[in-house]
Amino acid sequence: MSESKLNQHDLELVSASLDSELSDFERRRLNDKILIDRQAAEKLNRYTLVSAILKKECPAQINTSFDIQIQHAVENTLQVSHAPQPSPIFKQIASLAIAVSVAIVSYIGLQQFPQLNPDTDQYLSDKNNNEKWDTEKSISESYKRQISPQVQFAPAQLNTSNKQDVQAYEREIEIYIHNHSGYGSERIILPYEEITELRDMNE
Amino acid sequence: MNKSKTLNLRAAIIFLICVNCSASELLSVQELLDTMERAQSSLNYQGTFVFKHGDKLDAMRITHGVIDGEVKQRIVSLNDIAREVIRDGDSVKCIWPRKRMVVVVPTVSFNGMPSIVPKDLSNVSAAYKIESSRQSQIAGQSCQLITMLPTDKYRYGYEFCVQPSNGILLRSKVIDMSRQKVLEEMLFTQIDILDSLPAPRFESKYDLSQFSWRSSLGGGIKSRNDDLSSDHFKISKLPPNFVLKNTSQFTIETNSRPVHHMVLSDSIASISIFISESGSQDRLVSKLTGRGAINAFTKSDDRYKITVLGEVPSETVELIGASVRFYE
Repeated sequence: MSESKLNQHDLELVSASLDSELSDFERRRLNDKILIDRQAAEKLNRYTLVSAILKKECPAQINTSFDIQIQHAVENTLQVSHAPQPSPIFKQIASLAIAVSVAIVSYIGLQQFPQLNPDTDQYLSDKNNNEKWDTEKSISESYKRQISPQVQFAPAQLNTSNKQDVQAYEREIEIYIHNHSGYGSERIILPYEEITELRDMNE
Repeated sequence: MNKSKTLNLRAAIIFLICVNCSASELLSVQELLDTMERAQSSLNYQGTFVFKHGDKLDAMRITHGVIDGEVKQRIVSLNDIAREVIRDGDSVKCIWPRKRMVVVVPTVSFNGMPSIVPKDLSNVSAAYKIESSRQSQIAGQSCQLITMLPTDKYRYGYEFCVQPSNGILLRSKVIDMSRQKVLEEMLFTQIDILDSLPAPRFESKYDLSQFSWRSSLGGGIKSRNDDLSSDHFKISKLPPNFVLKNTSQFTIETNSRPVHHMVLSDSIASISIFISESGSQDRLVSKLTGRGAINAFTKSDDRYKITVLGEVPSETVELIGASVRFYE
């Protein structure tokens, strides 16, 4: 089986999708990517399962290998029904046996859910330990950072030691951005006080 | 019992008709854009929107109106020190209170917002796959969703939600498709449509006579000039569907030599190319990143300096910038 092409960012998107935080547009993009990646699709199935368990949703509604086992059991039942008609007593015993086997499969399946795959453990471990998953913490810190934008002035790292040259260059870029806004881009560019990052590509 | 069944059937039929009605109410994308354009020159409204660009989030108050046939608009930032953008007809004043500076820029802004929206779709379909889908609800108003997916890696994807009856853009997104990341997002949180707005609502709260005033041109005059014509340089690699829209020449305060400005556009994304004589022996290659959707690339040799910037991926400005060759 080929390696999954999902990266960390994709996994975060998968998680956001499970939490219904993605727009339709983003979800469609993610689905398109997952559809061509079988391993990723299986991973998403496992995540969906874990998510359903965490949300205390009915696991029987989720498409998993557990479902497939049930489906096989049903198919076996259908095959039995095509066979020559047995006596009523045998029919009752057979029905009881099927019911018991389904119950046993269900029980074993449910017992095995938390140990389905190392990825599942990893997901739960990440969810519990990783700061990224710690919703309260990440929201409060990022929110503070976002709503109180400091004037961040990253000094230009250019091939010049002359501070005046650097300032002139930054000023020039500002003027170019305004000109682009005025004559090029069909939108208003809001006034910001900082040039975010100027960096030398030769470094 | 029979009467009850008949009523249920009628209700089901009415429901199906209503569902069908709402589906057929979806306007075409061009109709939505036309409604947006009309809204610019006819509506009076006041509202609050948030604008996320990169890792920054700004809340803005917008007042938009038409007085004596002229479009007026004032946008004020609600967090940090109150920066203002005041639009008066075709010119825009950007006010930096901390620097005590006013920069006047002309505007060709189509929607009066920091959102990138195409004016017409005649050339868009070659570079983008356009979809118009279901209606959504934003700031208590219904809006119709439009998505524009780029057909290559040289441009971003866009998502808009426009109120179909009054044409107000309620949400917009710029999405880096290759990184699956939303670079910029504008979202109205509250909006009121008004009959009229008094003129003082469009005036700055600062005493601008105490501020230093600058033109975006840095004191220069924009004009056509053949001193540095396109015969002197060639762009050998241009992404498909970008065409030259405008060319001009001007001077800026940091450089006494004229700057040649070309604007390329694919009808949504635009790229500016600035070429000037370098006036320095320094060889420079640098990038500017992180301003939401804007990326820039600069390179210079001992004769010329070229800066390419626009609302396109960094790969695109680098591709164009690196492919420019100069001739004597």
